[in-house]
Amino acid sequence: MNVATNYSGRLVDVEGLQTVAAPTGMVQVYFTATTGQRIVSGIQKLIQRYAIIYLSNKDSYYDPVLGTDFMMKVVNGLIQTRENVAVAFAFANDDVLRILRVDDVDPKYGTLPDDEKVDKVTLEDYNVDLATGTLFLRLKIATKAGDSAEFLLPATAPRS
Amino acid sequence: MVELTDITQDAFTAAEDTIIELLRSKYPALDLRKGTVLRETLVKPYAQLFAADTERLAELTATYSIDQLSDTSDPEAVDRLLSNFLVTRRAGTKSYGPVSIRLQYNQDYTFPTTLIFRTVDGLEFSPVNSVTVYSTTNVTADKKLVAVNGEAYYLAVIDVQAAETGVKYKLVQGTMLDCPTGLVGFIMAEAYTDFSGGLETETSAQLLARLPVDISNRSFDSPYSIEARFRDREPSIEAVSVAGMANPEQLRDKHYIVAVGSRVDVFVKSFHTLPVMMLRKTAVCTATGVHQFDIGINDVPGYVTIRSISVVTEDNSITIGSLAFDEVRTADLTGVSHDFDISQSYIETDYSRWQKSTVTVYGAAVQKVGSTVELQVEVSYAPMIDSLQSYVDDASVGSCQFDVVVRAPLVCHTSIRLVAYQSALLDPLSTSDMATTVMEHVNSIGFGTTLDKSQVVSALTSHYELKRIDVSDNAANGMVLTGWIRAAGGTVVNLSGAELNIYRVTNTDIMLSPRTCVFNAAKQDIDITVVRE
Repeated sequence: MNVATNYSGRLVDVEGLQTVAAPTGMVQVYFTATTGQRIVSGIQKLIQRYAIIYLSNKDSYYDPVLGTDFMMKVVNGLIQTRENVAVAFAFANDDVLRILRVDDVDPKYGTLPDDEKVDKVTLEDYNVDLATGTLFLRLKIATKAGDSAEFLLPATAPRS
Repeated sequence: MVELTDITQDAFTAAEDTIIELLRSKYPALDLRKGTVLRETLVKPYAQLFAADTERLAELTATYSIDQLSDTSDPEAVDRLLSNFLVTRRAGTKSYGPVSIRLQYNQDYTFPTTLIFRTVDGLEFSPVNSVTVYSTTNVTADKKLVAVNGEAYYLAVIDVQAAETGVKYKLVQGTMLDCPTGLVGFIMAEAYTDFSGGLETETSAQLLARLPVDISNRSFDSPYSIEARFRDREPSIEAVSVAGMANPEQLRDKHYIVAVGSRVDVFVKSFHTLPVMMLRKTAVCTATGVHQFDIGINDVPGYVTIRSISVVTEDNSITIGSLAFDEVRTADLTGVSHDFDISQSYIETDYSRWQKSTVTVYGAAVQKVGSTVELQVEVSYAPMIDSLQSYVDDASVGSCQFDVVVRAPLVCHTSIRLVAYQSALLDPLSTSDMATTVMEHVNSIGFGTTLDKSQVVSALTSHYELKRIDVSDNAANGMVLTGWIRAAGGTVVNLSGAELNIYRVTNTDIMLSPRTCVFNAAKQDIDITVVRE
């Protein structure tokens, strides 16, 4: 994915996802504590926000509306078929987009450029790694500026 | 102490908003929207701590503000704050009262303080002091057993005190007790009269309610300060009412052409339920079927009314019921420096500790003039009137400016009759418990109020599941409130109707007004019928 390198005049966040070089195909993202912490902006920041909210459970402590039910469904074994994945994604995506769009226009957070505002997110495909019990969602995120990027979102169910 | 788990969502959200605003004002380039790493790792954790600190600060601020204290405040915090004003929470008190014990044998009985009497609920009482009650054959003893006509037992009446503090130990007349520690010849025991005392430890709400009185100066120049002075002396006082300069009930400052100040009459409700004292009096026959005796000023200081008079027979038994009697109250003002005008009547000395009575009894016995008969006299009284008067008369305590006289309150002796309706699907209610509930409500009313049907309904419906209570004036099933008051000078005033309103019968010439009068009900005067439908 493209990583914005020009932070001038932009709102920045701390990097939480693996940073990669400019595009050579699809890359799985995961959260990691990197040495030499970096700030991010642009579409990477947007992907970061999307991923954090998507993978957070609703009713978590002190913010009952932040997050989705997706991880809960994965952990509880409620996703058994392709249709289950699509439906669960649809509900979760709707929740995330709503949360992002509310904050995108909230003036107390400052002004966001269009390349950091989400337009839509689609589920391109998914696959399952039975060995690790991980469901990988291949998502494509598009911004208001017309940029887009694909990324893999892992959702891991605990194995007994 | 506020913990993180005590923080509400609203408090957290407010804290978050504050932190976001503060951070962005200093670092406008930070993106703190939901989902950002900064929001999750910086703002949220700090918002939790910030919210907790805000709550702790509010709690700390409340402990320094009397206005913000409430019944839910930490009791220790309330105590600490109010100790700055020399106000302390009243500890609970133990209930006390007389117990009538039925005994099989006519012999001397010693009741040690280790003896225990216990109710079916497990409430325990013990004699206040070790006391010996002698057999009826002991001619010199003051305290003797009483034989009851036609019964094969003897009665002893001794004073007992509850094992612990609290209002639940306040027994009503007739409450049965057993004696688990064993007593030779013991048959049964019961509360002879309603018990007194028995207070719970004061709640924070009660403590705050009396704060204006307690932080007032301790003097005799205002109702608050007088009440504070008296409550310091006797914490169990229930209510205090003052008639001073310009109050129409104050008769003692109207002896001159113009009213003068400095006369203060303090009416003290020193009881919750009007207690009763038993006197033994030797009455002298003054005419056929007529006997007389005196109640001296030290017999029952502050007595309110004579409830009954009965004859004690040769075998030291008493008959049930009361003889007819008249009472004329006067006063013994020997050595008294207070200003009383008794030239026309003894109204001004009524209910003070100097009142005395000459009682004329009819039908006690047929005797020659000059013969005597032993009588048992039941007298209701307000405790501590004499001790409080001694207190204000103490040279080192008493006011140098004010002439303070302590009086027992006038009492509206109240009777209530009602019919309540309960669903037949529910367990039957105890009319005895309901009568106690109504009695407690009536006896909790202080000076200056009325008693009406709605109060009785409210007292019952807040404790019991009732369909309805007939509050109509229907002669058969309607609620009936009646009361009678012996005003100063002996005038008896009767009240009845939908409300017992002291205002309507106010007559300050006989010291009858809401300022001087309280309500009292005995359990046997509350008649409740429950209809299950």
